[in-house]
Amino acid sequence: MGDSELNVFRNSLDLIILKALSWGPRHGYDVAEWVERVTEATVWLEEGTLYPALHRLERKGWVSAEWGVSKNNRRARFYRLTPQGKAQLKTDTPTWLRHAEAIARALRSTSPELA
Amino acid sequence: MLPEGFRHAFRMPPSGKRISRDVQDEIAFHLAMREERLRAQGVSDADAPADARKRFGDVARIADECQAIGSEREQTRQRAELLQSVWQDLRYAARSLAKTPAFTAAALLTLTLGIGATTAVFTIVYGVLVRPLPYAEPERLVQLWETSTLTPGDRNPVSVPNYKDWVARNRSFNELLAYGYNRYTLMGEGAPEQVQGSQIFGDIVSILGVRPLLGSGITEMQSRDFVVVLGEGIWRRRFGADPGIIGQSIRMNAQTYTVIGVMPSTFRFPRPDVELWTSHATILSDPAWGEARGRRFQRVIGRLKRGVTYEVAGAELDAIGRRLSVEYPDANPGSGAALVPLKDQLVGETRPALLVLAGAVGCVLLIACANVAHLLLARTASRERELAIRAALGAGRGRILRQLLTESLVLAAIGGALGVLLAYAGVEILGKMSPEAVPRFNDVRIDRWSLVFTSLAVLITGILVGLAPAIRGTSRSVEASVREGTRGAGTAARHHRLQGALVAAEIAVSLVLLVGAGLLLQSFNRLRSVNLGVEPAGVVTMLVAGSPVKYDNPDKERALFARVIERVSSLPTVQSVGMCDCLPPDVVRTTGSFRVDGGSTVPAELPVGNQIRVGGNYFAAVSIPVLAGRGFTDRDRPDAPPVAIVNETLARRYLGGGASGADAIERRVSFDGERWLTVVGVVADVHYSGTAATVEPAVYSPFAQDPFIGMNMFIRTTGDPLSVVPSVRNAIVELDPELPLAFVRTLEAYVGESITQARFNMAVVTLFAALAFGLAAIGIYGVVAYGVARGRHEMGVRMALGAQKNDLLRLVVGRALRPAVLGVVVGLVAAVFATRALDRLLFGTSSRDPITFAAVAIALLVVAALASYLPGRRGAAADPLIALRSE
Repeated sequence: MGDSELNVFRNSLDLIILKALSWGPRHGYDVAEWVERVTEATVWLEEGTLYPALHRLERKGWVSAEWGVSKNNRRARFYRLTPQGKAQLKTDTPTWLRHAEAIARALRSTSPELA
Repeated sequence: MLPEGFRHAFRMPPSGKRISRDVQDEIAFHLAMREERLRAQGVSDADAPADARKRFGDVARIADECQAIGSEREQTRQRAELLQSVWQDLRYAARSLAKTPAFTAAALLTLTLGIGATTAVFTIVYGVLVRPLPYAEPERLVQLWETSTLTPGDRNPVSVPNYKDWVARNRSFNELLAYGYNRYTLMGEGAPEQVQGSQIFGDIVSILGVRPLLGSGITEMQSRDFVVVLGEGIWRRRFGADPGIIGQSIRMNAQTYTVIGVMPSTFRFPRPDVELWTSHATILSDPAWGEARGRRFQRVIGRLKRGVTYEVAGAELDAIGRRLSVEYPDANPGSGAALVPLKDQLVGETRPALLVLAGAVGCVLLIACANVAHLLLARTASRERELAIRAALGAGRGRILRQLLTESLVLAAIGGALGVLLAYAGVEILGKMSPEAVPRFNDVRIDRWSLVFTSLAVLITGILVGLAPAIRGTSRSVEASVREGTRGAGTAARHHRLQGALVAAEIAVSLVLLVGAGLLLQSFNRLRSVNLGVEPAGVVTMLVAGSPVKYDNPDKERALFARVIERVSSLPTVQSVGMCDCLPPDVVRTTGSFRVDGGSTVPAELPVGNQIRVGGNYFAAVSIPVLAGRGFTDRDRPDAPPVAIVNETLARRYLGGGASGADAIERRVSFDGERWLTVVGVVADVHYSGTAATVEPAVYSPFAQDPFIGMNMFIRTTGDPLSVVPSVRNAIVELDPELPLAFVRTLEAYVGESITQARFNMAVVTLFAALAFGLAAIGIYGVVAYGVARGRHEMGVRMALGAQKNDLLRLVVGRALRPAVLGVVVGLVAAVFATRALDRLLFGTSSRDPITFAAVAIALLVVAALASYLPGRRGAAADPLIALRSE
C-alpha cells in the first residue's frame, strides 16, 4: 500500500468533511450534524475533534473560511471547498471506496477456500 | 459576509488575539446550536449546556489546538505574501530597467568599474595584509634581529656563535631557526643550473608546522650532514617528479648532497625564489663562518611559547643581546636584539602603499555611487507622475521606497556580479604587472572573503545610490506631482541643490585622488631622474659565482677572475669589463664601521660606510668618474701595499677632501684597525643603498688584494649589450664548464626594477585617479545636460523676455560651476589631510606641494566649465518657441 493510499485511511475524517462541504458552504455545526447523520455517529467520540480537522484543511488550502450569518441569524464561520479541495475529494474518493469495499469484503467472508 | 479577499485587500491581517477570539466564537456557536438542538429533543434547560459540552469534548484543549493551527497558517501566509511582493518588486525593477537600456547600461558600467576595482583591491589588501601566514599558529612566529647602537634603527643579521647563545639562553621560545641565502649550481644531466637556496640551521618543518610533500625536513641533528630538501618546482622541473628521489645523491657546488625531502610548491619560506634548502654543513665546517662571532650573516626566526607576548620575548632577547655585548665587546659592540612579528616583517613597507591603494579605490567607488545616484535621481524626477499615481492608488510610502531601493539594489547586484569578473581579471593583471612589488602576491586570489566583501559592497552601494532618489521619490505631495506633471518647475530648486551637492562631493573626492596621483607621479619622476652615479645604458651585468670548494683559496679566485676578464675583454664590441661584489643602485655586500687615521678609535663613534670590492675596469665599465688620484691598476697586486679608493662623500666628510677631493689622497682608512689601506683615488658618489636613500661613505678595495668568489660582472659594449651574452657564455664555459652565469640582464633593466614599487604605486593610483576623473567629468556633464533639458521651459521664458544667448549660457555654466567651486574648496582641505598618508611613499616631494594642489584644482575647474559649457550652449541655442512648447 502506497503512502498516498495509507493517507486515505488516516484522513478518512478529512475526506468526510470535504464531502460534507461538497454541496456548498457550511458552518462547523452543520458539518457535524451531517457527518453524525450519515455515519450514524461512528466517526468520532467527541464532536470537538471536527474543528482542528477543519482548521488543518484550511491550512492545507483545501477549504477556505469566512464569517457569515447562520439561518437563525447568528454569526458563524462558514467553510467552503477550494478548487484544490474539490480536486482532492475527487481523487481520494474512488481510492478510499476501493479499499473500504475490499476490507469489508474480506471481513465479511465466511469461506477459508483459496479460490 | 465580507467578500473573499477583502480583508487581504484592505490590509487587515488577523492578529494572534483575533485568531483566538475567532476560535472561541466558533466553538461558542457550535455549543449554542447543540444546546438548542438538545432542548428540542427534550433535554431540560438546566442539563442542555453540560450535555453539549460533554458531546463536544475538552473545549480548552481543542481551542488551543485550533489556535495553534491558525497562527501557523497566518505565518505561512505572511511569508508567502512578502516573498510575492519582493518578487513583484524585482520583476517591476527588471522591467523598468529594461525599458531604459541607455540608463541601465551607463549605471551598470559605472557600478561594475567601481565595485570591480574595489573588490580587486580588497582582495589584494586582504591577501597581503590580513590573511594569516600559511603556517601553524602563525601569530607565534617572529623574526629576530640583532640591533646596534652604532647604527640605530638597523636590523642586523646574526652570527653563528651569537645565535647559539640565543638558543641556549632564551626561555621565551619553543624553537629558533637560523637561515641564510646561498646560490647553488646544480650539476648532473643537462646544463649546470644556478638556483637560489637557503641554508637552514634548525628544524624548519617543526617550527613552521608545514608537512613535506615527500620524505622529511632537515632536523637540527642533521645540521652537519650534506643533506638537501628540494622544492616541488625544481623536483618536477629537473627531476621529473621522481618519487624515488629520496635517498638519492645530487651534486651541487661541487659537493655531494643526499636528498631527504620535497616541500610543496605552496611553501615559500623564506622567499618565493628559494627552490631548495640545505643543512648548515658548509657553514659549520668552516671556522671563518661557523665560529666568527663578528660575522653576521644569518637571519633568525622563532616560535614563541604559548602565552608569551611579543613584548616579554623582545625584552628577554634584548637582554641576552646586551649581555653578549658585554661578554664579547669586540665582536658585539653596542649590540642588542629585537623581534618583529613574522607577517609584519614580510609585509614590511607595503602596508602604507596598500592602504593608500584601498583609500584611492574607495574614492573611486564613492564617485561611481554619486554618478549612479545622479542617474537615478534624474530618472526618479522623470517618473514623478508615475510614482504619484501609484501613491494615489494606495501604495504606501514604505512600499514605494522599497520598490525604488529594489531597483537600485538590482542594479548594484548585477554591477557586483560583473565587478567580480573585472576584479578577477584585475588581480591577474596587477599580479603580472609587478609581482615583486607586493610581497605574498603569488598567493593572492579572489576567494570567498572577496565575495563576502563584494556582497557587502553591493548592499551598501545599492542603498547609497538608491537612498536619495527614493527619499525624493516618496517625499512629494501627490497633489503637487500630479498637477506639475513631469515639468516639475517648482521642484527645480530642490532638485538643483541635491544634484549640486552630489557634484560637489564628486569633485572633492576626485580632487583628493588627483592630487595624490600628481604627487606620486612627481615623486616617481624625481626618483627616475636621480643621478645614480653610474651610466646604465650599454651595460650588461651578470653574476659569476665559482664553487667555493673548487676555488678554495684566494690565488685560485684571483686566477679565475683574471682569466674571465681577459677573455671577455677580447670579445668584439666589448669596451670595458669590470667586477664588483656590489650592484648599483641597491646592492652592497658589506656595510660596517671603518676608521680613518687620526680619527676616533672608540667603537661607538666610528663612521659607517659601504665596503666594496672591485676588479677589472669597474669604474670605466659603469662610467664612474675618477675625481682625484687614480683608479686601480695591475700594480695593486696582493703583495703590493694595500690601497683603497673612496667616494666623494667619504673624502669630503672624513678626509678633508676639499672640492676636488685631492686632499684625501695618501690618507689611510681601515676596517679592522690593523690593516690600513692607503687612499689612492677619489671617485664620484654612486647609489648602493637604493635610489631613494642618500649616498653613504664608500671604500673600494681592489679585488686582487681582497678576493671573493661571487662577483657581478659589468660589460660595457658598443652595440646592444645583450647581444654579447652568448659569446660571453661560450668564453666562460671554456674556462670552467661548471661555472654558470646567473641573473643576466642589462643594467638599465635592473635599475628599472629597483623602482618597481614606486612605479606600481604611481601606476595604480594614477589609474584610479584617471577613472575617478573620467567618472566625475561624465557626472558633471550628465547633470548639466539633464538640467538644461529640464530647464528648457525656463530658458524659453527668459528668451521671450529678451535674454540673450550669452546671458543664458552664463546662467547655465554659472549654475553648474557653483557646486564645482564648492567641491574644489572642500577637496583641497580634504587633500591636505589625506595626502599625509602618502608621506612615506613620496621621494623628494612634499605631500603638500602647492603646485600640484593648484594645478589639479585649476584642471578640475576647467573640466567642470567645459562639461557644462557644451550642453549649456545647446540649451541656449534652442528656439524659444519650441522651448516654451516643450511641455
